[in-house]
Amino acid sequence: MSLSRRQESLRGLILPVAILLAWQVLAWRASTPLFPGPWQVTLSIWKFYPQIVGQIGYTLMRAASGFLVAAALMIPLGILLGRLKTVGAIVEPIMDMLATLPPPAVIPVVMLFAGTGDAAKISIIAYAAAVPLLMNTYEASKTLHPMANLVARSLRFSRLETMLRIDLPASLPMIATGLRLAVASALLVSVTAEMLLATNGIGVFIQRQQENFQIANGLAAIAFISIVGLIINNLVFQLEKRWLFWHYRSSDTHGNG
Amino acid sequence: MAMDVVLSAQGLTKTYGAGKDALQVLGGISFAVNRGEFVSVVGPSGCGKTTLLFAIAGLQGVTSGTVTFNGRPVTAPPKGVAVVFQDYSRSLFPWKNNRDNVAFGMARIQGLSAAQKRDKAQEMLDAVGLAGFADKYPWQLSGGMQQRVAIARGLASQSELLLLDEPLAAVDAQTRADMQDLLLDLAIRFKQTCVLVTHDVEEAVYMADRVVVLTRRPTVVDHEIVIELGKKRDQITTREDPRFLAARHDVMTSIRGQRAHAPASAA
Ligand SMILES: Nc1ncnc2c1ncn2[C@@H]1O[C@H](COP(=O)(O)OP(=O)(O)O)[C@@H](O)[C@H]1O
Ligand SMILES: [Mg+2]
Repeated sequence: MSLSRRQESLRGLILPVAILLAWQVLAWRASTPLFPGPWQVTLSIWKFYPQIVGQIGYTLMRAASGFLVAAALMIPLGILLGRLKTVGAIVEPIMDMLATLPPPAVIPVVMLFAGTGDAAKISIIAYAAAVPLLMNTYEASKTLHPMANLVARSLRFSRLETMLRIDLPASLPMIATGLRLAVASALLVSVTAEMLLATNGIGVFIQRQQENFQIANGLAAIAFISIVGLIINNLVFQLEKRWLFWHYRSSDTHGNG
Repeated sequence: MAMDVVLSAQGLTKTYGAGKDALQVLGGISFAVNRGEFVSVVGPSGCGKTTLLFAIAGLQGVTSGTVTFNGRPVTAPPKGVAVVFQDYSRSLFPWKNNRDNVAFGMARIQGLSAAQKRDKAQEMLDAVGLAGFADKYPWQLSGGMQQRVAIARGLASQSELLLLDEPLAAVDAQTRADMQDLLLDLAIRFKQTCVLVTHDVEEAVYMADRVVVLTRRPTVVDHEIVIELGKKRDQITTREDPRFLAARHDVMTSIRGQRAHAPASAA
């Protein structure tokens, strides 16, 4: 017995709507600007959305730059390290160590060397995105079935060709997992870095609003960030459906899946 | 008529590991394959057939001995040798449809445009009876069909030598008989020189112009036997032919004989 799509999405709405209602009721009873309800937040969104969208634009630009730098460097590096077993084994403990380090912790260190400008922020974001990307790509490349490599050699592929035409596509399912984590990490660190050392961006906006006790405005910005997060997530999901359908459909793949 | 030797193996030995854990698999294997021939190499499971085939293919080094292909020593996979692996599901790439998987076999062939490779791939899929499956993916096919895609890829490269590592070991009996005939037809049609490695004595004799019979480990060639049944074979009449039965008897005796001499613990 399966529910129809519509019924399912209606069911999914029950809890959020209940929470919003409860929140609104509590806010009315508290009746203080320090505890705004969803209604006040909606009004804030209405009033501030041009500003919020503008500030999110700065944030996203930086997040995207850092993310792209990380992806461009870490995916090839991960594939390479997975192939070079000895080098990989040497680097692995460092990767594990970095993986347990919360990315915001490196912000002061980077500030020391790179200052507080956009370059510094993008470096921090790139670092935050790099860790999950490298870990996942390396793991995928390392655990590829040896058969793939045998086939590549019998087809007389060069090392580079094998990495591009076999290792990379075979690793994509795990790279996708890394990409998801990297997107989340990049956004998190962008906002954190802005709160600490930016002159613009949504992090700064939120901080200013909170400092002025404009809690509703801050929440409005946070709502926007979650919407952006949802949109990005959905985008990634669509891309996965498009590029990784073979992984979800096939039972026996080269990777670790 | 001078024999045109395509492949020759001389004194191949292979020892895995070292010291206490050393396992000598190949004990000095020598044999040759002539152009246009279908040669079966038959030996019990674990005797080192895959090891031997990978050595011939240049995929794995040997401890001593030499492989020559067209007179040149083989140190890496040479141009003109194609391999069909036993593990078909892992030897095809799930992100490529069947046509592109077959076209992959021509990746290193110069002077063919991408469109020509696609056409050629389609042609090879037609040849293995999968004309309508070009746009499907390997994981949408049965095991036997997947192995046919792998065979099509092996043929597409138009290699002088096609090496087959127990390609039919994992398919059911009926499919296996059909695919034996398909392989034989293709070998005749494309004048393909083939080396088939198998543990199945009947298959070895049915398919081959000549059978190379291996011993158990450390493996050497026990003897060779020419199968004088002509190129055309038939599942029913060939298998009833006295010459087929005699050859089968000969190979079976040799392989079972070794088993009788094996230690009691061996299966
Ligand atoms: N890479 C390897 N390292 C160690 N032992 C191996 C390796 N490959 C195969 N062997 C061993 O060598 C023997 C022969 O293997 P293989 O060539 O696969 O035999 P076959 O194909 O005839 O079944 C087996 O006992 C196997 O366990
Ligand atoms: Mg084998």
